[in-house]
Amino acid sequence: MSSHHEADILYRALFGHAAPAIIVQRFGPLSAQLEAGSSAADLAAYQRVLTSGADLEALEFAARLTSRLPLLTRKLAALVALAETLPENQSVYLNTRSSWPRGVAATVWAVLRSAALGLYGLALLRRGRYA
Amino acid sequence: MHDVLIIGAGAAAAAAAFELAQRGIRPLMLDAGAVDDNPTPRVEGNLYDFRRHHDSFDLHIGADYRGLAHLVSAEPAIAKLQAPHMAYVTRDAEVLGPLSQQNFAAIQSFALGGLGNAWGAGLYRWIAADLHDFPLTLTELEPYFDKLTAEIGINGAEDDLAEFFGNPAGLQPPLTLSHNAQQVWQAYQHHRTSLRRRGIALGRPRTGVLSRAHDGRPACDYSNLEFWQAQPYVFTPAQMLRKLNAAGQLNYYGDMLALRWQEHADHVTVTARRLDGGREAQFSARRVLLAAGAINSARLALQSAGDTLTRLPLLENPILQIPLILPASLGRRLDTHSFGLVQLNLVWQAAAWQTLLQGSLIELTAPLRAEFFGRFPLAGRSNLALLREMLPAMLMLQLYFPAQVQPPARLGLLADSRLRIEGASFAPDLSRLQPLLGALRSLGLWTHPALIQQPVTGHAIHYAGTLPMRSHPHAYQCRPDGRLHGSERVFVADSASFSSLSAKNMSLGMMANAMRIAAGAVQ
Ligand SMILES: Cc1cc2nc3c(=O)[nH]c(=O)nc-3n(C[C@H](O)[C@H](O)[C@H](O)COP(=O)(O)OP(=O)(O)OC[C@H]3O[C@@H](n4cnc5c(N)ncnc54)[C@H](O)[C@@H]3O)c2cc1C
Repeated sequence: MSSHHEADILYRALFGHAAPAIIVQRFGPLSAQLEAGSSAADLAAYQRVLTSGADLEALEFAARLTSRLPLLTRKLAALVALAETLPENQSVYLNTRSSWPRGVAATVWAVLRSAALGLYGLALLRRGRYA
Repeated sequence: MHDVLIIGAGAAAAAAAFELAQRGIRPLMLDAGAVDDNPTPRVEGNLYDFRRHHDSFDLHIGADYRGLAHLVSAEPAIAKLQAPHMAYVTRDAEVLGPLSQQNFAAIQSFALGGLGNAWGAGLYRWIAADLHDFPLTLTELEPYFDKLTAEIGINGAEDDLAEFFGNPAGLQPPLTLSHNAQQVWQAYQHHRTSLRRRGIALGRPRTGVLSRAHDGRPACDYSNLEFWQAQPYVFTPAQMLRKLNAAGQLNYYGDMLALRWQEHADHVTVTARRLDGGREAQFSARRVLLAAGAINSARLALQSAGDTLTRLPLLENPILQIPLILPASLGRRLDTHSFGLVQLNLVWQAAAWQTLLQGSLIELTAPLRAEFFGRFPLAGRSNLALLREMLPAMLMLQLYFPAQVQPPARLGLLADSRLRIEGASFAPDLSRLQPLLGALRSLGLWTHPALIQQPVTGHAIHYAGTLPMRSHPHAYQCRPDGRLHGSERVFVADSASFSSLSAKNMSLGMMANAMRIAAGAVQ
């Protein structure tokens, strides 16, 4: 799979849309560096996940909880960092208005959503035998 | 023939040269000497204003992706040292100072200004208790602390920590607190009596960060940029050296790696390797001050003796990092105009360890938000939501233990010229922290023991005690005046000479001691 396509799939899993061109361009060499330090088994498992079409966010979370698919986790973390350097993404990372009720609601929702995704991801992991 | 030759150009070396300049002596300084040659322009103004309008890839990550080195190598890293503008601080360290390490992760600098280029500038005076094992009294150091306070421009306050941080005379006013720190400070005023009864005191840090313009340098502009690039309001040893050099009070010789010295009846010869060509050169001086950092000064001592058998002690402060949440600040906008490093200090008379522990309460406004992404325990998009809603409500307590709570690491020279460092892992029983966690709760700060992180030994970056000062020194120890055992002309000016290491950022104490030793050496 091309690093362009790879960046798009991962970016979509986190941000809900295709990766901007500059992210794709920067992700390529970084992705290669991340892969250079990975074992063949990690790499194969990662490729299977990527081409599976499964919910990547759920899979990554469940894999993280069970210490699997480390390359997927590192690639997502790398994309989160690359994305933060773009001006158009600042509102994703930075709160510009203060609201305690919104903060509490968002935190509670994040926890509940993660619990559900975790369970779903664990089922996917079991079914897909990725790692 | 030079009167005084200083090896190294870090905080200890700068302080020694500063003292010598006041005595009309212009020392020769040999230094490996890396400097910031990152071609990316510096950012002016406020970090977050910049980020709103510009691509910040070059500032945060860099074309070689060094800002993400922790993801690539999976080695523990220190975020501030990964900043592209800080690359020079540790450049070529593994080549110039090769190490073989076990249970230790030393950070070395071969830069003009040394590790101090990246420091938080927490500059704390010693009190008598910090000198407990030194053959030295506080009175001998006080004049140098006073001179440094006046020269550097250290801020702080006369508060509950004055008894631990020493004489507050001459301090600049403290910096403005961030919103979160302000909340904690107010809660402390409210619960002060009961917390003090429990052995806990809170107060303003002492930092070499200007709250008022001083000596041609501007006051802190709360830009959050100090994490990413050198800012003129944060004191660094490099500033001091450049000032001395410009005034003709220093003979600075960069690109020189000192290899060994040889002492003669009336002088010392230092052999160094030119880093721009590899040729060896020799320099002679009546006295030599070792200030290459505790690890590399020890390396030089062992190399000079050709000794691959001796093992020296290496002290370091064990640390714990405790993430803290202020539930009342959930959902707040990020405090983009705050000082991005230490806001408050905490001192705890910890009965469980029968010693004094010190904590720095650090704002998390300056690092990349993504730095915390992998540390939150939720799914990807939910972690992104936490970065936005919860991170602005968080602080981090970096808790320092005195070195004595664990056996010292051992350091020795290998035949292949690497230094071998064997550390001891620090495994504190976290349940002993309960009194502290309870006190933090009364300050409105919540955490859970499972969230406490224990960085690898070596990441406090307070290295000391490799050539310790003793009243009756043996080999590889020094006399109270800094002179190395068996030598008349070689003095240990940096933290290698420490007899012990209390739970306090050590650099100001080291600088005052370097001045004392430099003054004694030329008397
Ligand atoms: C991120 C960070 C934050 C920190 N925050 C604080 C803080 O808030 N407060 C605090 O007190 N401390 C802090 N420290 C630690 C502090 O920076 C160091 O303890 C201090 O700077 C050490 O100074 P030094 O002079 O002993 O040696 P170093 O800074 O290690 O300098 C060594 C010097 O010697 C030179 N050198 C070494 N070997 C040779 C050789 N063989 N030949 C020629 N030259 C040589 C190097 O080029 C360098 O100039 C921090 C450190 C870091 C990295």
